[in-house]
Amino acid sequence: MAALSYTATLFTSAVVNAWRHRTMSVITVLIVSLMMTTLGMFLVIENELSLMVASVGKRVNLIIYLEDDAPPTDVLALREELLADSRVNTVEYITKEEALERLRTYLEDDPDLLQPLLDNPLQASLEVRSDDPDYLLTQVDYLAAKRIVEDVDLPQDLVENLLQVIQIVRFLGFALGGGLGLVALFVIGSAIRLTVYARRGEIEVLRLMGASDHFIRLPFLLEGIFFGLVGALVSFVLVGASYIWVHELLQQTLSFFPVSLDATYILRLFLTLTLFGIAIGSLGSYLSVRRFLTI
Amino acid sequence: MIVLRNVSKVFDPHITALDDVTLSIPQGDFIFLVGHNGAGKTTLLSLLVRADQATSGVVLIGGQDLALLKGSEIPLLRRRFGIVFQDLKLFPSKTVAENVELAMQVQGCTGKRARSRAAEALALVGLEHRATFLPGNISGGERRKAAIARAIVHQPEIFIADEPTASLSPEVSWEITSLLMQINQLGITTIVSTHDRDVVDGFSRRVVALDGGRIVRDVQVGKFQENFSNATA
Repeated sequence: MAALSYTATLFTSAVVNAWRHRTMSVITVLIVSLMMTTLGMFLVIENELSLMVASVGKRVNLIIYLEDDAPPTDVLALREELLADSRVNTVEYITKEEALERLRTYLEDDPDLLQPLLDNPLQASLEVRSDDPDYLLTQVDYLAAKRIVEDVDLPQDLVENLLQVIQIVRFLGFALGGGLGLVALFVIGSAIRLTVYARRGEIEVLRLMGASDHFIRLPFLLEGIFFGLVGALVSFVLVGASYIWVHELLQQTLSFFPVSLDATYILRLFLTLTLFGIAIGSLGSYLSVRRFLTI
Repeated sequence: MIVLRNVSKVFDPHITALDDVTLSIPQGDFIFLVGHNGAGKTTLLSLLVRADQATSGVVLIGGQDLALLKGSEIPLLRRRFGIVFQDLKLFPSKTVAENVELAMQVQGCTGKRARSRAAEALALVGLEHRATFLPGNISGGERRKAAIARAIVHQPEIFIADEPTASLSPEVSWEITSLLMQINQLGITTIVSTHDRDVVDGFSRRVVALDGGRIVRDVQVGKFQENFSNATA
């Protein structure tokens, strides 16, 4: 109970101090909000792009064309082997006749094109569906080397480009997140340094009164956390509103992508920004206080 | 018991603030520390609270050698003191009551208990009616009283006041000094650094005079009065 009261006293002291230096506090919170809003926006864009990429990835099939003399037992064994991997959703066996039927359906406006065919030239195949285009890419050479496989078809360019987009998006996410995190650290650290400087007389008095290191340092740490937290909440409001707006825009302009509004993502976004704000706030003030407050 | 044994303090470049000072102050004693500006009064007080360290000699508080204290033990030593600074150092953005409560919070006492003790200390110095005022909105004498309340709220063993009557009218000086006597009667060792001859003359107490960093007199006030003019001239 005493510890709770002590913490409450210190937190109140931190909030009151932030209020007393409100111009500086407002500037700090605004800058932190700006940083975190930019970061949050990027997270939203990254999420939407990832969903779109995943959506495209789901439509990419790997087609294994089988030798005409492939024994059914071997084909069945290959199908079982593919299905044993959890990354594979379905493996559909397409017979030669089904392949020709599909072609006929595809060319129903020009049936004459199929007239010269004396025999069915198409091959039986296995169509592999997976949500993981990266996995499909790694299977091409392995499958092509099998005796019963004549050829393997995967729109590699598309898959590779998609994977590249995901990698670039993630790299930018990390780079931007890291860079903005450093900027936020610096801003919060500077604000705390100024507060420490402005309160150096009070700190001296507290030292002579016998205040412990924790007693002197903790309000500054809490003040940093307070800045980070308020910055995170402001940015969440902005980013959350933008998320809904961006989402609606994507639905209107790119309606062929089945991306639905995800309430759990908004919750995750809230938690991410809040924890990031608290982490940045505490780390920024900790580094600043440790360096500039020699007790 | 406070003991200083052959204590010297030299600041660079070769400024001797204290020179071979030996002094004993029994628990519950009251002393006036007098001397010119630069005589070494503030340096002596700063050695007692380990704000500074002696260049040579030994400073003992309750038998504890301050030179041997670890960094983490210094706050504990300082909590045994109540200090009224020459410029008071009240927190201008805190009310009088909050300033006093802060001394309790430093001791780890918060909430109702801290508020109650602060109210008692303010009542003792006659300042309960100014509890909610900011220090900037009360008189100079009242600010001194607030600083005294802050220094005694945690019931220290040793009370130090640096020039507590500076710039005050004779009436208020008398009132403040009477308050210090009252604090001493609670069994608190009281050390008052002052320039104020009237105050020293008015109260029959032990007087330690410093000059050039050395103790030049250590007498009861009756014997001291005749030499006081020379010591502070």
